[in-house]
Amino acid sequence: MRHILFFGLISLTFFAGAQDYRVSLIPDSLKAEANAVKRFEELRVIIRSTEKAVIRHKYAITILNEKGDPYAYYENDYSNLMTLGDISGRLFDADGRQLRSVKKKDISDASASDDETLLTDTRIKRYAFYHKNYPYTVEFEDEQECNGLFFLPYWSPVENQKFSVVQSKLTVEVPEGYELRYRQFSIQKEPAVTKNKSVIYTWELQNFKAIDFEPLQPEIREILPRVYIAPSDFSIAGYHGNMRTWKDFGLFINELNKNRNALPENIKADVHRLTDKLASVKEKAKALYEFMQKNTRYISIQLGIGSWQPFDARSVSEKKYGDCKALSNYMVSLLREAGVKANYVLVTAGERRKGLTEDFPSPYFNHAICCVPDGKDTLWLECTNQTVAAGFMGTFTGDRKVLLIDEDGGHVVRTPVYKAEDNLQLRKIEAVVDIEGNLTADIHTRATGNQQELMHQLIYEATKEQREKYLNSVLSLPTYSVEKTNYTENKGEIPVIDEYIRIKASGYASVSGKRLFITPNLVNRSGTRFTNDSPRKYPVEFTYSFMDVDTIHIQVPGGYTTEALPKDQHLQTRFGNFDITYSINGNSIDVIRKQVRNRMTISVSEYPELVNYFETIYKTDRSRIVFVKKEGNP
Amino acid sequence: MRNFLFLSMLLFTIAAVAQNKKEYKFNPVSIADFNVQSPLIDSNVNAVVLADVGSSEFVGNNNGDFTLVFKQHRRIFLRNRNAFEAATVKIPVYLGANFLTEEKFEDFDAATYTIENGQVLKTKLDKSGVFTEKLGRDRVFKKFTFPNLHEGCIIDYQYTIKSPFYTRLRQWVFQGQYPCLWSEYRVAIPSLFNYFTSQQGYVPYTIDTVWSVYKTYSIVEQTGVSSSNNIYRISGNATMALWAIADVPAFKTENFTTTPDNYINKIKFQLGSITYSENNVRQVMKNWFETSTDLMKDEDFGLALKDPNGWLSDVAKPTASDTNEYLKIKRIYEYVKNTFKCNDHDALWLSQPLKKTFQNRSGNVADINILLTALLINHGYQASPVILSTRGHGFANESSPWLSQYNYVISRVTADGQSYLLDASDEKLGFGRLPEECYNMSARVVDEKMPVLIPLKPDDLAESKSTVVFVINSENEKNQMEGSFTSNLGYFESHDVREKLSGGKPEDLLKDIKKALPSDITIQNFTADSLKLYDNPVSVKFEFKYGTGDEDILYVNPMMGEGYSKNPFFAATRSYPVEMPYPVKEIYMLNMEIPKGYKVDELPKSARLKFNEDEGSFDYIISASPSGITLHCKLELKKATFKPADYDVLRDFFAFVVKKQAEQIVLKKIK
Repeated sequence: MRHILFFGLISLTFFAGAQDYRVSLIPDSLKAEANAVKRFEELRVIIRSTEKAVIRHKYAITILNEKGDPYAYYENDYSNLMTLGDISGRLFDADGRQLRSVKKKDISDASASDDETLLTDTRIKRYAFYHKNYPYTVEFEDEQECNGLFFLPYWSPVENQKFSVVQSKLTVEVPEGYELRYRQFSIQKEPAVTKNKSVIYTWELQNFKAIDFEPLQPEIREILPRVYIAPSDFSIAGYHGNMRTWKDFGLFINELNKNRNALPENIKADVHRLTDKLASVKEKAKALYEFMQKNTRYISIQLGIGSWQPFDARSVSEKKYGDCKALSNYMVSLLREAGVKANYVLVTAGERRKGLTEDFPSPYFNHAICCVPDGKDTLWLECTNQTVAAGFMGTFTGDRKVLLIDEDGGHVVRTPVYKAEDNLQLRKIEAVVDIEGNLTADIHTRATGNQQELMHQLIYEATKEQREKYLNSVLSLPTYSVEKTNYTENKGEIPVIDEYIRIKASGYASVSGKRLFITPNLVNRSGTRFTNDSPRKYPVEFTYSFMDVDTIHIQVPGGYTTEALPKDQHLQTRFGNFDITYSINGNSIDVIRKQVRNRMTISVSEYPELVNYFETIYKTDRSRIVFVKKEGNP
Repeated sequence: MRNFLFLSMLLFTIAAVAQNKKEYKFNPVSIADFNVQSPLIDSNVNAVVLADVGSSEFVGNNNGDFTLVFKQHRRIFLRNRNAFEAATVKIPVYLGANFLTEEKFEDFDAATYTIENGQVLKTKLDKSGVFTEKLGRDRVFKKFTFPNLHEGCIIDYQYTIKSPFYTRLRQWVFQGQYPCLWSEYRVAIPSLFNYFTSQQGYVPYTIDTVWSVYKTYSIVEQTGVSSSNNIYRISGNATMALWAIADVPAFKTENFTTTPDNYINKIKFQLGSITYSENNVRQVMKNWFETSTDLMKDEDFGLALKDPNGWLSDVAKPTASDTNEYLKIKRIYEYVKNTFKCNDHDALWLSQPLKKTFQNRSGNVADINILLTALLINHGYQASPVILSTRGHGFANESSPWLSQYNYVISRVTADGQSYLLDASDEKLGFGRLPEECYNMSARVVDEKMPVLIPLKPDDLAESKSTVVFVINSENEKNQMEGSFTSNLGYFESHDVREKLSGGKPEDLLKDIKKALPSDITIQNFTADSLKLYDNPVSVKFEFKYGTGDEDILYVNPMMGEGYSKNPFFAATRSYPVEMPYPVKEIYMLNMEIPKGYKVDELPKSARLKFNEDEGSFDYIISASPSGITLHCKLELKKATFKPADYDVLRDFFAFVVKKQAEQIVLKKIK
């Protein structure tokens, strides 16, 4: 027995023995195009029970140049639900000699709160090795203990573009009989499984060469290897559940949200005053949504299980603030008081995100909203935005799979997808150019759906002065000033905003001797260019459809004739259409530009066509009309 | 317009004329308060500070010392929800090593006022709603947010901070993001403390008065035996001061400003001396000679420079090729610059002993440049640390050794009668070069015998860029032009390019150039010289080819994409000075053959424009001969700082430049 004990003591140094960090050991193919190379990594998740897990992480990264410096910085967080300890780290030179190690007192500790957070128990520990003799290697190690199983770490061995990996390993150890759930992305090989007293799953990645990201590429997990793991049965903060199915996941959320819908009497009275006389579900929902918007604001408070459990409706009623969970739960409570069926919904929010992974129930959510299900008339409500129209789900939450929580558990549903005709930008420009080339333009723009999001912000979040300051900096005109602005909004499930601006641009048209040069497309110039320098590796994703129509009328001074007029263009492709026509009638220019873009994924084989398409638009949008003075004129 | 009324000794500026000394009184919130009338309010105003009143007062405490009591009471009218962010308040409070040196946050009282059914409704913010967020080792935030907010509500809060740090009399900022109807600060200081004040800003004071009253302070010293506490009574003339400004407009930030901090209305304090008795005066603030002496004795600054630092003797020793002093010094500079990594460019004090910096190979800007100074001294050179305030940190008052004004250390070395200012904290700087951020009017040499001021005016910088473009007809292909592009960047622009490229490859620069060019131009033989030779500016060269097509008329912009396409001064008006980092000098020259088979139909007109007589100029001289076209375009602004009154001229000047540089050459096919 003594013998075994001795053996056990040795194995207390948990990870493999000293590593050889000589940079010369890195294959050249992994150094090429990389700013940093992960030499070694072991992420070890030990699930001890349904409520305890330990995460041990050790890794070493060689920094090849200045752009790799951020990988020499250590950062990890902790909270009431997860401890963080045993942080150690070492710095090595190119020959693998140890130069320094982390001193505990130099590890900084800060709150994770940001400008919108009133309170959070999440704190961040940070440490940085500052070193400038490249290449150098850092090694870090830490340990976390989860008090409650819910969110488990994911393995993402390739941390970024221009980052290669010599070797990285994920092992997950679970008690015998415990069902571990996992989902692999961009990685084919199934894990190796060994069974002893516990069951150990192992994934490994070796010799991964650095890649470059590409614009409008798919989500990262579709490009880089990643493994998500999730519990089956779990307990956290006294709550129990399992997430084998979305249905079960939803039942757990119901547990968390239980008894949090009670409203104080005065709010109940408000609900009935506002809705009792209204006939339809939609009218009631809209009235209560406006009430919620008027009477609340967004404040983030995240404490312990509170980062998953909403504050109850009573406290929102009294304090008149809450985070996305609290406000959505409050909205659901108001609707229920009015006898309207409503659901709490969990979302993966953010632009260009695709939503939950349907075949892998897991807690990858960062937002909550409210849904009023009513067949075709289903209404979606974003409760942290106090100015948006009821029913509109823009680029932050629209077009993705979300989890709707009902009494019988969770249901995967999709938020609205908008067509090109829903996301319009219709613009009409009436402009006059004087003999010095100064331009005055009245620009009327109607924007709808996703295309009105920026204008919506300009209306509600900026003062008139800030709006004008912004408008005075964004247009691609050389020297100009915005003289008048006006916005009118027509709130609807697809919001519509009409913008009017008058601009004066001195010297917009270039007048030289006998000629006048003018670029008739004043404000809607496509900036998209795809490079043909290297072959495309990943598909291009356009995440929403839209349509732009610009009708431009420019009056030029008399006495000129047209010398050069750009060619009309009619491009028809699978991913979009572009049409532009030019005509000169006496002293005026008429241009009609129409662009339609389709929500779709464009394969690598279609990429060359895409490059040409956008290059033509780029050039066309900047092309000039040249006028020359009529002969005989002074 | 009152600006930079720097440094007055509180004691000596007792107002001769009797002024209003009455303290602002907060009345209970009434219906009338919700109907705020002020010329400061228009549709751009989200919130109005109805009153912001603060005071700092000394009181005797039970620990044989003074406590500084700071109070603030603020009342804000929130006109719309864009001002709701003002309802989440963060107040920094300092903690010391133990309870004796801990600031106490007390007397908190806060409420939201709304109108319900024609009545003012008060919703109290409970004390339990004040949270403490730890911030580093010795500071916390007291954080709270108001309940029951509605558009058009009033929030009101007050608190007291009792501080043992009586040398740190809190400053007062009169101007902020929202207009303020009444901002007031009063201080009461016992006669033994002499404070210097510094006032700045553009908005005139409504009350600015100092007077004195006879006051007695009781200080209790606990002896441990409760019956025998020592009680001291200090009596004498206490200095009272009251500053107030009515109708303070909101501060608005503008581009090309060093830091808004230079222009907002505020008042700051620095303890000058403590008079314990007539014969016992402790000078806290001294002159530059004394301050330099103190700094050189301070272990967190220059103390180590007095040591022989023998451990440095073998470091960066001259080699046979270092034939003169300049080369020897340069070797030392290069060694420090290339060996030590700067982890903080905002530091006046050492973060660790020099030896530690040497071992760790990293430190803050003070660590690194004082180590450089030590190394130079050890090798027998005359070297001193030099302190300055960077542009982002605000102007330092040159005459007063008020150290909190400074945040950066460089080094000055003298050899062969020549002085060099060195900054080894940025490896991309050349020898004797300083970063843009250091040019903030002046720096001070820390030298006991000669603490001289060194001017570092942005107006004095010479930054010059020149670009030469040649274009000729291709010998091999029809309707094809070839050419070369050479641009010698200015020094600061070179530094920016090097920063941007750091760790990358020169070809990354080419990617950026390509982005700005039409896709039908082919670029070859791209080189970027001196990217790593930091003493020299970067020079970019490439050759290009493009087809002219077979059109009857060709239009060519002779600036080839090098001109200003947008006016950098896009704001229509300006309230504060324009502070560019350096003057401008840009020369562009084009020498172009006329494409075969074409002749010039029209050229832009040559032009010359002066900026304020002799402060700058724009020349655009173009001419054509049968063989070719030449353009000489020069843009020069001889200074970097301009008064608000010059703004319109500056904007018009650039508008002209943009317009001129957009003009086209017209070529016609010879028929």
